Amino acid sequence: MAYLCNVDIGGTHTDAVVIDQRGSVTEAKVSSTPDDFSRGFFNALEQGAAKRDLALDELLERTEVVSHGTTVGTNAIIEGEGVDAALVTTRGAEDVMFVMRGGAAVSKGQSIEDVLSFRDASKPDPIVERKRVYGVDERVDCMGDVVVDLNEERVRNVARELARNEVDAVAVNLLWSFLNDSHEVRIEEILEEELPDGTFLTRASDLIPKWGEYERTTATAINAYIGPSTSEYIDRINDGLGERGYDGTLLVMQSGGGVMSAEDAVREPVKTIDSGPAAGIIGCRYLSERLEHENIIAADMGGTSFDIGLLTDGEPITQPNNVINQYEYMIRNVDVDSIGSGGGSIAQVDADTGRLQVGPESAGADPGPACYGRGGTDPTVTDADLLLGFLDPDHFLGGRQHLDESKARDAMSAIGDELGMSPEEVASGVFEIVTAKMADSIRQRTINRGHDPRKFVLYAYGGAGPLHVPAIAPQLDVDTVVVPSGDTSSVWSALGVSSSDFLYRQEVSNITTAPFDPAAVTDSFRAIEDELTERLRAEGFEPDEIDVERYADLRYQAQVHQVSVPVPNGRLDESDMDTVVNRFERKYEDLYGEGAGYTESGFEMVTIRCDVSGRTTKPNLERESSEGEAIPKTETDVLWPSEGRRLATEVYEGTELGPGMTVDGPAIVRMNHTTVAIPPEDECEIDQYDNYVIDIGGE
Amino acid sequence: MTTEIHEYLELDPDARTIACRKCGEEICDADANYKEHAAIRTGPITDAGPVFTPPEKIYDRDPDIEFRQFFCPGCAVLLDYEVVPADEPILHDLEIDVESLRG
Amino acid sequence: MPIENRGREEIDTSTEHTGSNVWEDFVQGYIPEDPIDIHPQLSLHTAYETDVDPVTYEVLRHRLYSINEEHGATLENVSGSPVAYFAQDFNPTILTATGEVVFQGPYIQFFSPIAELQAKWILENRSENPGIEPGDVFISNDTWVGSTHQPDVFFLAPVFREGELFCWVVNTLHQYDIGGSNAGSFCPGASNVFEEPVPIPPIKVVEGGEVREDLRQMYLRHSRLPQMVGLDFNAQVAGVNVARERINDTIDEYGAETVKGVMHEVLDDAEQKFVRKLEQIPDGTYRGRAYMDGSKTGDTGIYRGEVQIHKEGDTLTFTNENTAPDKDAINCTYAGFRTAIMSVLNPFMMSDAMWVSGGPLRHIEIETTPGTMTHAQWPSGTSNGGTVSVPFVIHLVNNAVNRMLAASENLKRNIITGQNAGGGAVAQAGIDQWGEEFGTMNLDCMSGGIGAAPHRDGVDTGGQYWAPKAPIPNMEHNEQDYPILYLYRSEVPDTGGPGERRGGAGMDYCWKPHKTEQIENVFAASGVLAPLSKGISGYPGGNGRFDVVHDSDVEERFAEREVTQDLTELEGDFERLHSKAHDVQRPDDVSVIRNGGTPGYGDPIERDPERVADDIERGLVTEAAANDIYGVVVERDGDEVAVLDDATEARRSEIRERRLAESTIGGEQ
Repeated sequence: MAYLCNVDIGGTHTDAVVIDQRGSVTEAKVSSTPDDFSRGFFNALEQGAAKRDLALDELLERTEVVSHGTTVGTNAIIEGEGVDAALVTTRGAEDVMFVMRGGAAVSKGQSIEDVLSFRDASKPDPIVERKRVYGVDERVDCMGDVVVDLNEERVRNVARELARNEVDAVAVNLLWSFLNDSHEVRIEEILEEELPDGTFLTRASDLIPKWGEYERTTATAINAYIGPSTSEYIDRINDGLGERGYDGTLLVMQSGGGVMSAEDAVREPVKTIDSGPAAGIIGCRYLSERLEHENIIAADMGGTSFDIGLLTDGEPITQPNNVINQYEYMIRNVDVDSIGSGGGSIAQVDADTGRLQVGPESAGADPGPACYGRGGTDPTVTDADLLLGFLDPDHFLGGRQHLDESKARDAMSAIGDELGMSPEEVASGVFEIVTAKMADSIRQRTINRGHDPRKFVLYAYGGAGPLHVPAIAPQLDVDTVVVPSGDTSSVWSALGVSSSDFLYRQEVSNITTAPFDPAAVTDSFRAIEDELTERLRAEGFEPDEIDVERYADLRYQAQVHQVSVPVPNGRLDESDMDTVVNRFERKYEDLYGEGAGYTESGFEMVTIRCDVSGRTTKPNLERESSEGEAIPKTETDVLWPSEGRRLATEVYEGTELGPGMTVDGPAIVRMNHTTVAIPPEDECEIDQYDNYVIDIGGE
Repeated sequence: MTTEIHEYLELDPDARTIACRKCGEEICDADANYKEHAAIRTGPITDAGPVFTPPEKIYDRDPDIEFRQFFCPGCAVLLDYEVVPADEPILHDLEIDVESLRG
Repeated sequence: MPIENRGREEIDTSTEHTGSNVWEDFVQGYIPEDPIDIHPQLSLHTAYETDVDPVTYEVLRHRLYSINEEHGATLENVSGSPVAYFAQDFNPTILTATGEVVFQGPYIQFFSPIAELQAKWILENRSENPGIEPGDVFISNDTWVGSTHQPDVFFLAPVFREGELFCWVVNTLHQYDIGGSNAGSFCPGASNVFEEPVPIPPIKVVEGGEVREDLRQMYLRHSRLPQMVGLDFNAQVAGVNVARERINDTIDEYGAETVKGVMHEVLDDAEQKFVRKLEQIPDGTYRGRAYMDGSKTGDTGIYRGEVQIHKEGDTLTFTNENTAPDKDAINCTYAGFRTAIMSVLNPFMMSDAMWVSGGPLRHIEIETTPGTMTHAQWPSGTSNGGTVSVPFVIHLVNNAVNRMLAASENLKRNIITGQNAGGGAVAQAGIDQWGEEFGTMNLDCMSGGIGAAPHRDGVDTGGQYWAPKAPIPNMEHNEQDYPILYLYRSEVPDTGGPGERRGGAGMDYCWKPHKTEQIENVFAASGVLAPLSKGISGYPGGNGRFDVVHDSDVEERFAEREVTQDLTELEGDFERLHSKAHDVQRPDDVSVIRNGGTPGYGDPIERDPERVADDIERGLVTEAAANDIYGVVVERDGDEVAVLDDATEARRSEIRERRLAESTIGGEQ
């Protein structure tokens, strides 16, 4: 028996998932060990091994792939626990990470309610302290020409001061270095000479040679900030795996939508930030291939937030920049938007106007919904779900969390009194409102990008997703909702990592004007893809396991917006250049509306990108068909908001259902990590992967 | 019942006075302009900090701009400032309708 | 679903239709009367549901707001022009059929309160001829009908439902160039409007869904860059079309009367929230005053602006007594004054009501004096409304509102001590490094400080509160598109006004022409002579500046591997320019412009000395200012700064003593 293992390190818990070649999944969960994350890593694997009656070494010897998703880097930034890092930059550009982009930095990543309020307006804490930012005299211009030669004496003085101050990591980013990296390379050489071995060094022209100094400096600085601690624990895990019998490469999940080797993760840890949501989307891609769905809206509803990602033509939509802690940095990532609607969203009545509102404030996990009995007194979406009858107080989360219905009722009544509504009416209203808000958010993110939601399938996961998303579907005219792989939707992220390909991605800016020289463009692509392919070969991938994808970001001349389009492989000719331009114009119109483009402006190619991927071993999720029919455990009255009344609703136990069975709505399926709601008139079929496929009828 | 009308000032609608919140010093009648009863220091705009340029270095004449600071006569807490041509009157920025507070 | 509670809007059709006095509007600025005079051939949808159930209300409120956000995203996406994008110089608005602002976007705030004026004027003066029909779109940039300045062009679309006008969807977008004597359409040298872009009162440029090519061409004909304006034209038409369609979809789903009922309740709620806040503010008069430096390029006059806010019960009356007469290039119209009011009141008082302007406007009276700088009469120059005049009025209103909120213990935390104490924009033109003609407004101007509050410091280089999402361009972006090379772009120490809470610092941007013969710079600003903002107590924020060294030795220094960071170190002719200036810059000429900081809040000698030490370490406060103004004495140990407690206490005592010793009490000599 061969295995795939994935370990997810979170702030509180470390989860392990062991998948065997028959598709059977074993989960393990331990506490994270922040003083040395590798301990929790192996503890989790050990627990997973034990559940299969194996010693850890036995498991690892038979494991084909060990993969890893981490929030260590993300948490380090959010909690301000990175190292004492320094930044070396062009003199005059020292304030780039303090000015940021002005006002946009204050509002970045915030809900609209917070954007409109200045009471708590602020910029985030620095990633690199101002006194650790060193400007050196040098200058390159927009054509890559050197305007001021590198002042090496200055560099050497800086290097000596860095050594004196014992900095742990140094980021180097000069203006226009992506066009001419000679100064950055020379600075790196001098730093290597003057600084102790083991100082973490990262330079922008290597990490992300793209146009735009703020987002590029931030990416480089973040890499330095989390570099030493991330690399330390990953190295330890890597060594530990080898010692315990694993002879493969440790694969680490990237926000970009693929995995990388531990060695790469150690060098470029900035790519691990927000890898979790990306993994979920890649899991959706893997599933969509099997289910032959082309266009998916992936909806993850948890306790505090509702995360939305899109896949079109079977591929996840990526965005060039990401945001963390109000900092925007340019590492391409799977685009997942987060809005403040979750199970913990608080329902309240506005003091001045008497209006019922739901969110964006959240009760979080602590104290959590009133019904959790942890001291929360605000009514939340979860309390509403309970009062409506969707949740069983004794069987929530597989019985691990008891729900106190009286507390939910009290909390909801307090609001009900102010509105002249019964607690059930309020609960129904809360459900409807949060549904409408999520539908609006999805609409904004599909229609506004030129996509018609009616052509999409909704994939629903997260603690509250499978309950709420089937109710959102009719509002978008979406007729299919898929709850992936039944009960493992809580370790969906882990499955996602296990189903990710190995990805090397490099983006390089060099702004040229149409007509583009096909030979020069070919050479530029080849320079990147040859190197990346070489690295994949070194990882052990055969040529037929390697895929190369080319993209170019174009813009209309002197316009701001860039659009990314695929570029043909191989040696390019003039007709290929025409193809690229046509694709750009068409996609621009799709995104921004007919007549939005203005050909007369002329075109510029700004950045080229190569995604070189190596196909990894994927888990087999196919199950055997179950015998028999779905038999409900019990029946309960549920107030379905869409119907406005209580209906007798059958309740099933997820562990008693399997592939091939069908369940007709109205019905509820209880699982260890979530609850699936199948609305009246809808039908649910469990497919051979244990997915719950809900056909949205009615409307 | 005194009302805070400024970080450092309170108004007593019954006694009809404005007083300093920090030291209690009574500054003036509630109907008056407290700035006219404050300790007033006048100087060039450069008194406001090293970052200010003397206006005569920008214009080729001296526009006679004054930097006025208004302090509590009791404890010297800073109440307000004005940056104005010297011949401009003191602005009555804070003119509370005392009757409405009493009513 | 039958609607139990029904209301009906009153439309007065009793008198004969005359519209407003159009030619008086064109001179004084249009001030709508109540009720407005609409031609009876235009039917308005007037029925609405009262008492919409709370759930439907919240669902529809969110939906309408979301539609407006989609509209805004359309503009943001399609308007690729750097000027519009980096300043977020556009905004979508939804208005009721009779022109009350229901929702506005979070982009530049100047436009939505003015959209009301445009919509009402169109209702009064276009309802008969040429008429208002389904599928129509009107455009206008006339500052006397309603605009901040001529580059801000309004696209207004009536939304019809079964032959009745249901509501308006509007967007406004700043056009880089729409004519006038200077490239970039800011004309700080103008003596009157005839030297500026032509004001266009509302014209119907899309008729029943078809673009009127003759009018579109005439509109584009005004511009030096008709292609770019054409692109934005498409964007703006697309925007209103999308919003119109979504609203119709929503009405299909929920019914016209219910949707209209929600609009009414949104407005009523906003009004309610505003009135509740007014109840916590004492009646009285609150005043703000500041001085405009120069009326046009070459002028060194100083012109007083003043705003008075008279609060009585639940009404605020705004006046502009003691304000200098209109003159040259520094004016805004009634519309500009009006919009400055809401640009302040929304962030200061309506954060919990999604900045719905229509609510507060029901309790605001404006009684400004025509013929003044802040209620200018035609043919005064108004092209600098956006960069000079409206921000100037915002300073005045901000200063007065600070005093109003300071008088309420509950509301004082809403104070924002100011917008950047001085600054403006530079329009640049010439031949770029690629050999092409270029023209732009440098959007570095959007990064002054955000003001402080009683409980927090200001935000250094935090932008403008009336454009909360605006991203300044990257230096590399400006250097790619324009023939400039930055020497530095930095936060400036001591520009954050001292206070117990420090004001937000401002920013310097310093550049020289690169790979071009010359750049023509036209600067339109205010607050270069003296700072304009005032918080509560505190010291002023550092104000704006425009300095240049002509014929400098910068290139010799480059050859010596030095990137100079201080213009005073350069050899050459150093000049401090005025707030309205025109300068031709050659490759050896180095210019620096400063966006000001914002005032402090509270007495600087009350500031926690540890914070001052942090400020010094951070490079935002100099040791001199720390000692002289904050009364904090420090010692340096490497790059660490430590407070000397005893010396600080002594210094602060000394400061207090000197304050009184150097003062005279009120009327005394």
